[in-house]
Amino acid sequence: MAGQASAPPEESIYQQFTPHRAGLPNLVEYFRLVWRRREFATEMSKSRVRGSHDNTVFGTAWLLIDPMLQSTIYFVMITFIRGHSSSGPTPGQTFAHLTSALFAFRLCQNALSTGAKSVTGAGKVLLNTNFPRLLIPLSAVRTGFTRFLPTIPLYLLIHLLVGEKWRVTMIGGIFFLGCLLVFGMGLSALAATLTVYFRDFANFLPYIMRLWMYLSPVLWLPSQIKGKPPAVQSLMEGNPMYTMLGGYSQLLQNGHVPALHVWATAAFWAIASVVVGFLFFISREREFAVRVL
Amino acid sequence: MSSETPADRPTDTPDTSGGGRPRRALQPGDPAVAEQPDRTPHSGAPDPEATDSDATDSGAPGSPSTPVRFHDRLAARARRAEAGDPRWSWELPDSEDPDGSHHTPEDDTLHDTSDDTPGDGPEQRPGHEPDDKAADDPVVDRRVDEAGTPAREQPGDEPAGQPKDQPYEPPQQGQLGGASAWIAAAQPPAQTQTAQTQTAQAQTAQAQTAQEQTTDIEAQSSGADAESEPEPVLGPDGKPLPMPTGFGTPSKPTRKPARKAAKRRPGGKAALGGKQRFKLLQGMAPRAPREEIPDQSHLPAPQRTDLAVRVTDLSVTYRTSFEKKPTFRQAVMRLGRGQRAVREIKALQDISFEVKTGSSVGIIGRNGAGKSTLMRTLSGILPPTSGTVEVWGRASTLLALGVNFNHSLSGRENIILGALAAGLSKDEAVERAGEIADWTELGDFIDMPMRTYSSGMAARISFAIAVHMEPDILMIDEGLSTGDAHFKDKASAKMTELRDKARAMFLVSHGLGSITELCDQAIWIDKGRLIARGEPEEVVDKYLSTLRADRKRKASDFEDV
Repeated sequence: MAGQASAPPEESIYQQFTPHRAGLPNLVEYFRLVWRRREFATEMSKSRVRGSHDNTVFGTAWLLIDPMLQSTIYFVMITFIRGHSSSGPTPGQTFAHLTSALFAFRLCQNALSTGAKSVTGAGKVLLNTNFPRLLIPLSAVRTGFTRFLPTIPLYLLIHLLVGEKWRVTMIGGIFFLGCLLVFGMGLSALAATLTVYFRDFANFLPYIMRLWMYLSPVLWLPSQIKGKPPAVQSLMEGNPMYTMLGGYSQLLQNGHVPALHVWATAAFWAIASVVVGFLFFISREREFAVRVL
Repeated sequence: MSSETPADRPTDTPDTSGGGRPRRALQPGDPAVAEQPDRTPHSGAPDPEATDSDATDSGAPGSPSTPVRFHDRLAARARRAEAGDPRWSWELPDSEDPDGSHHTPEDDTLHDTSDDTPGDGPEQRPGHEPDDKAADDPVVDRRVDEAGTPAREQPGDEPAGQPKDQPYEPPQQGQLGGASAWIAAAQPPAQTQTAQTQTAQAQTAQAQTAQEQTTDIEAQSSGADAESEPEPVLGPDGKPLPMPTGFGTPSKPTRKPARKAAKRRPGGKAALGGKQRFKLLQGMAPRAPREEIPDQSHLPAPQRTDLAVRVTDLSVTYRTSFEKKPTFRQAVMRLGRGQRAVREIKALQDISFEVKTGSSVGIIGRNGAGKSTLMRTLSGILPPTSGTVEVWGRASTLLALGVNFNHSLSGRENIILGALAAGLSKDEAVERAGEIADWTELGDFIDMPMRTYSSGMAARISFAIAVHMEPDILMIDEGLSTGDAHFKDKASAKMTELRDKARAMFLVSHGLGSITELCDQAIWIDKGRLIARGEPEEVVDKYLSTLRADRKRKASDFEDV
């Protein structure tokens, strides 16, 4: 919290609580504390998973069935309803792209929606225990990631089923996945803070996320916006998900290594989100103890 | 008021139920007292009913329904009345009360009655004054003489901590007819309860004792006869459901599974005033003074051992919302109206003090004075707006009990989470979880989801987590509750042990008796400012005299109007 002036031995703990400078505690100290309590975040996340029975057979099955059903619906939508152009990718390719991108998008979506309610749902632990509050949204991101993990082998299976081959370059997808995860952490902290001030924020979230998904290369391929008006193109490319999801699905699906600027932009968005989200959260977390009841 | 408490009680303390109950009956904050007026009409002519219900009494002993209990009570009363004394007689809670030993008369006077009422225990004391007036005022006197009326009103009007035990016999009782009237008025329930826990023979025996004691009381409060007349009427009715199940079902063993007992606790907890709750503190003996560590101000702060806490020019200001649940929708609506719903709260202003190692500090003040904010600041939950707080050691989390995280998890998993939140490593937490789990004595329930727990059981878990983290700075808030009587004793012992080990203890309480007994210094905070600090007796006296003055001032303001 506030600047704990020393990292003392167990016997003589000396803590000094001082006012936050510019609304922020000593960040080095803060993140050291976050690191020291990482097991708490891990355990909180695990307990959330256990609490919702995700670790049971049917719980895990649901983690696979749910995204599969969703991708099936979207697949029907984009191939039969929107119509399938002969010049575009084959239905198999479309399905592979859809699943890879959708699963990754759901990672962010999960982190955001769990994170949004995490602080307001933390209850009394906020009121009577002193620990860096950032651990709460971070544990929510971990939960989201745990729920995402089973879809990786699922995608790899789909990849084979649609007639593609596993390639070495697919490993590059891990970078973009990491970017998505870090991006999700920042968003989660941001959403958690906003929910403290606007408790109905979580209600808006599904709509925001759906709109965002339509703007991201999930239901369409990055190559498909070529030839659109420049304004639309730049809008689409300004979306953080464009580079992160685009690069990820490109690597996974075709094994095409994206251009360098795609990697750089993805990393930039991830870092920007974390810096903004974390600083906003930390600057506000002092008020949580009096705002969250 | 619910039937839980009395039903629960014999299971908690089967041996002492008779002695323990009277105090329960007299809880001034207790809805029982509040309900008295409603019930009094029934008691207007209770005798015929009472004779009828003699049959009910024996005929339907197992029925837990309220009417039967009511009849039972009337029957018991009638029996006693037949025994010789035409007036209602009662037995005073005597020394067999296991809790009685913990109460000083002062305690009884000063203890808090409820958490939220602004007129807490201490503030009730000035509450005598209306009675002073009542005694002097002939009009009021006349009203008092009318059967029933005053007795009905007064317990409700005076939720003070006094009408608990007979030891409270300050000069007022002699002087003030009104005061003694309601002191007496509150006692019959005590007798009812006590008598009912006994077998029929025991009842007779007790009734005799009771009569003797009644005469004593009469002698003491001479002149209060007229007032005490209506009390018998009120007594049995004023105690809505305190009939112990042990009476209704005499054949059944009184001991019930711990879970059931705990399950029934919540109702009782809500119904009980502050006093029951403070049993936890009353079990603690005043701490033996420790050796004072010589001044170490020459050492750099982190190496000092003579201080436990140092607060320098501490101010805490925060902004909070009017709305309990601020929403975006409301924010937009407010924006349309050009309003703001944020207000700034100056919770603490320029507070400085030092606490030496080995001290016990009592913090007193009205509700909203900033006591809890101070505790939160000391434990680092709420960083200061200006000034510094230095704490030598880890603070406990007893501020507001309930560190339960996830109700779909088992108690054990919650303990692990609590330990991790307190800063333990995973291995330590797992290791200590076993120990804590044993300590809670929840048996198999420890591995059941917390949602299956009663609130008493959940309170055990929370308390166990808090006390097993070996805090250096022990913080005890008044709202401390720990479940049933057995566990309370255990918790009390643990607290004593902790207190003797800890570097310092902070006690926030409206029970001024506890403060003077347990603390060696006191801090009085009002509206975020430190008003006084020093010996507990002095500070408490100052606090009380100010409260009295305030009360008088308000009263006179009102008269002017």
